[in-house]
This record gives sequence, structure tokens and C-alpha cells, in this order.
Amino acid sequence: MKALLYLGMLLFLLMSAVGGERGIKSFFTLGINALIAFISIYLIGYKAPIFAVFVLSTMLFGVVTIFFQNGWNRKTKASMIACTILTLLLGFGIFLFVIPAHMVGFDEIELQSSDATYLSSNVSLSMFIILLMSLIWAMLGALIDTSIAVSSAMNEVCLYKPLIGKKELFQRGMKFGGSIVGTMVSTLIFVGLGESMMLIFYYINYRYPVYRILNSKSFLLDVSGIFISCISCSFIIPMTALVFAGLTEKERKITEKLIKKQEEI
Amino acid sequence: MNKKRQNGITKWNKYPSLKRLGLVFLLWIGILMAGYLFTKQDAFLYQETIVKITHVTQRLNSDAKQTDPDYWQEINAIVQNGKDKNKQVVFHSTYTKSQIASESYKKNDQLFVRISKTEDGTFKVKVIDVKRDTYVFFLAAFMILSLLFLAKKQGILTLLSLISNALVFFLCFRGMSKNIFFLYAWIVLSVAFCLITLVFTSGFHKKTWGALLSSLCSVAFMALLYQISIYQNQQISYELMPKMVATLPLKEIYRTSVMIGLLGAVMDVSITMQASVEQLLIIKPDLTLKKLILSIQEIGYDVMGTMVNILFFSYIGSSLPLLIMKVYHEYNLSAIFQDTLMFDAGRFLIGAIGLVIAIPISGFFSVLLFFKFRRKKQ
Repeated sequence: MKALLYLGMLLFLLMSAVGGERGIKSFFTLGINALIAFISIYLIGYKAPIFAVFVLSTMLFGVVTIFFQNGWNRKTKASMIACTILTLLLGFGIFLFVIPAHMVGFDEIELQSSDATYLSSNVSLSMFIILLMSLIWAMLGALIDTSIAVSSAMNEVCLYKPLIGKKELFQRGMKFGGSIVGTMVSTLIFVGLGESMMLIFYYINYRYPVYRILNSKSFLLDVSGIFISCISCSFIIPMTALVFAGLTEKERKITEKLIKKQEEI
Repeated sequence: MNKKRQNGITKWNKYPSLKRLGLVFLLWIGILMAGYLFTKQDAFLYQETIVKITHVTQRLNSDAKQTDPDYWQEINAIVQNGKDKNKQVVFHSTYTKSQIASESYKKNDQLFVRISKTEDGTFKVKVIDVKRDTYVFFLAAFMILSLLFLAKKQGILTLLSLISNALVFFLCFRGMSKNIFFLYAWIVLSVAFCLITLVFTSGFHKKTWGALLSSLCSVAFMALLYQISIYQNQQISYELMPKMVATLPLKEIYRTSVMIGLLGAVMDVSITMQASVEQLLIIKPDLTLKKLILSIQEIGYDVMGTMVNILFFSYIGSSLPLLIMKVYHEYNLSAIFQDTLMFDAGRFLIGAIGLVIAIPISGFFSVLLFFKFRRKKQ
């Protein structure tokens, strides 16, 4: 217990030493996000309306991570819009996917743990929304990170070439996104592999045949967390590029007009 | 026209025209549909008996005002494979409204069952699991297609690196005796995973070796920190870990999982740093060391905040259902922390510290590699 506290303090020290003021800001973003997560878990545990808590907490995560950490400007606005649209779309996709795949509830390995019978008795919560929440929260970090990276790169392009066309700007964004999505996916997969390490050894230890693994709930639950994150961080790239190119279109036209006027004078 | 098309293909970075986009989209839908249809009909590949539900009738089995009311289902199904193929079976099942520990079956679901004949000639059906391979396929195919669509060459290389990593993992597990595997696998695996992933995704370049060196140094540093802070700690009871197998050396497995979870983030930071420093020195070859260090710091800020967020959300998301259920059943805070949160918190903290420490380390190596080398050239 104490060890984790010391590690947390070490993280703060390192982040402020390496990142300076922005490092401290990142650490506080993390703290606020943890607080939001903590409060929403307790609210749901104490039977607050679960869907409202879910929507509110997800929105707050977005606002804190995008606007508090990265400031209020056109790139963060574009990211926020793109992330909101994609989260809604993916939420709908997960909704269509999760119920026929029978992913709701505890998986068969969790049900064998000692306190599973107690934990699963007399539950009036919607396990479906809890699952949706866990999948959406898990992908949120990758989603926001990729989106901010793409919109920052496009913003750079706009600064160097203010008269760049909408289509070319979009292409630049896509190209940049393509160059980062590979490492992002490997990061997500390694994190997921670390998390599923226990599960892998569980399968090996109990000699699960391959067909059982491929059809088991535990496998699908773990894999879906990772894969939905990967899918979200791929799809956010065209979404952000599109939104950013759309947002800067107006500004570009105004600059074009100004330049024309100056030339006339 | 022909020339144009050729250009479009050879220059993969040029964005495809609307026509090609449409073709790609059609191909996507084709692959997904074909896979869907195949996995829905692939019962003949399995040796276990599979049934497909044709009809379900259900009724409330308890008081509707109960917190989690019970439902009773009568299920008609048809056997899909084996010697009893096309035989009709009827069986019963119950589920609770929350579906937390039981499943509600619907029409067209496919189930793995065990059918036994009782003495009076009727069938007794025991449900083992739901057939979920269609959905696993769907997710995997969707992810792979979107990666290929966006990152093209890079995407293929990333996928190849993932496949080789998986192969190395299982070869490693097969090749070592169990005790040695659990003790030392994390060292072998971290080195192998770093090497494979970096070489595949960024090729045989100087920056790859720089990134490899700096990620291995960061991992070694974190291994030391892990050893001091968590591994030596006697108070941690690893038996509380979710999904554990009590007979395995849990302490070692937890270390393996922490170290592997760390790798991705550390590699990401290292390769970003090396690539940007290389790029920077190509654009501005006359950069002074002081200015270069300032730029390295700048890159560091950008990488750090966002990567920490990725780790945080990934870990909190995966432990969320268990956390909520424990709060709901009024476990006290310290028990919740000790049982569920602690292991993910440890993974997160080690990962986050690792990626922050990787920034100065990879900065140092990039200066050593690119800046010093450039001087010699001059």
C-alpha cells in the first residue's frame, strides 16, 4: 500500500522534473480524472441513475483531458467535436455488438472466484451499461491522444501555410495520422497483453482447447477492450482531419479575402 | 488516365480518389460479410455439439418486485453438427434480469451443449457456452482492416510485428521449463518484444538501434524500481488478484505482466524521440547542443501528458465492472483497494513512471547517436 503511494509521489516528482509546468499540469489532469472516476463509481454503487452518471463522467473526462490539459483553442475544439462524434458512433456500434455476443455480466472465470456468488446476488444495476462504460472508458485515452496529435499537426501545417486548401489539409492530417497509428496500436496491445497475462496463464494451466478460448466470454471481453481501443484510434484520424479542415475553412477564406484586398491596394 | 492510376498506387501517401475509396469500402464489406456468413455456418469444424435456437418462450419465475427477478426459459433448438444433426431438442434455462451471472438466450443464438440420453429415451441438454467466434472474428477483422486502411505499409508491418511477438511468446513458453520461464521470461520477452517491434515498425535504421538501446535501458531501470518497491514488498497478497491460478507462481506472473505492459509506452516514447531528433538535425544541421536539449524537452512534454492518459484510461476501464460491483455490495474502501484496484494501480504507476523516465534516457541516447555522429562527419 505504502509502496504505491511512494510510486505515485515519484511519478509526480519525475513529471514535474521532466515536464516542468506542463508536467505538473498533466499530473493534475490525471488526478482530476481519477477523482471523476472515483466519484462516478461510488455514485453508481449507491444507485444513482447509471446512464446519466456514465454520460456525464465521460463528457467530463473529455473536457478535462482536452481543454484543461491542452488549452482552449481551435485544435482542442476540433478534437472535442471529433471525439464526441466518434464516441457516440462507437457507443452505438458497441450497443449493437455486445448483446448478441453475450458479453454482458461476469465471465466464466470471474464467476468461479470466491466472492462471485455474493457479488452477483441481488443486483439491480444494468450490467449492459456497466460493460458499455468500461469499454468506452478504456478507449478514451487512446482516442483523445490520437485526436490531439492529429489536430496539433494540422495546426502546425496551417501556421506554415495559411492558404492551404481544405482537401490538402485533410490529406496532410490523414498522412500524419497514418504515421502514428502503428505505434499507438502497439502500445495499446502491450498494455492489453500485460493486463491479460493472468488470463493467458489461466488458459494454459487448465489446458483450455483453442476452440474454447475463441468462444469464451473472458477472451472476448479482454480482446474487445483492446481491439475497440485500436479501432477508435484508427477512426479518430479521418474524423479529426475532417472536423479540423471544416473548422479552418472559414478562417482560410477570410485570410484569402484580406490578402486579395491588400494586393488591390 | 492510366498514368494517373499508376501514380495513385505507387505513391501510397497520396490520398486515394473517391472511386478507389469506394472500392476499398466494398472490399471491406465483402470480407466482413463473408467472414460473418462463414462463422455462422462453421459448426462442422467443431467436435463439440452445437445447437441453434429456433424458438424461445419465457416467463417470470419470481416476484417482479424483487431486486433481480428470475426468468424461466423454454428453448427449442436444432442440433447443427455431429451424428445427431438436424435433431430437435428442448431444454430449460433460467436467468436473472441483470444477467450478471446467467445468460438470456434469444432466437438464432448458437450454443455449445452436451447432450446425453436418459433412460426413458428423452434427451438431457447441458449448456456449456455460447458460440462467440463470429464476434471475435468481426472485431479482429474490423481492427485489422481499419489499421491497413489508415496506416497502409506501416499497418502491415505493425501486424507482422504483433504476429511475430505472439510466436516468440509461445516458443518461449514451450522452450523453457516452467520454473525458469516464470522467473526469467520477462527479461527474454522484453528484449525480444522490443527488438521485434522496433525493427518491424521502423526498419534497419540508426534511430531503431537508438530507440532499442534507450527502451532497454528504461526497462532495466524500471525493473530495478519494481524490484525495490513492489517485488520485495512482503505485504502484497497476490492471491487476491482477479483470474489467478493459485498453483502458479503469482508473484512472478505479476512481474511479467507489469514489465510487458510497460514496454509499449516506453518504445513509443523512445522511437518518437529518436525520429524527431533525427528529423530536426536533418532540417537544421547547425543546431547547438543547448537548443537541441530544449527541443528534446519540448518533445518530451508533448509525449508525456497524453501517454499517461492512455495508460490511465486503459487500466481504469478494464477494472471498472468489478469495482462497481464491490462498491454496490458495500465493501469498504481498503478492501476494494487491496483486492481489485491495487494490481492495476501498480501496473499503471510502473508504466507511467517508465514512460516519463524514458524521455530523458532516449533524449540522452539521441544526442549521443545523432549529435556526436554529426560532429565526426564535419
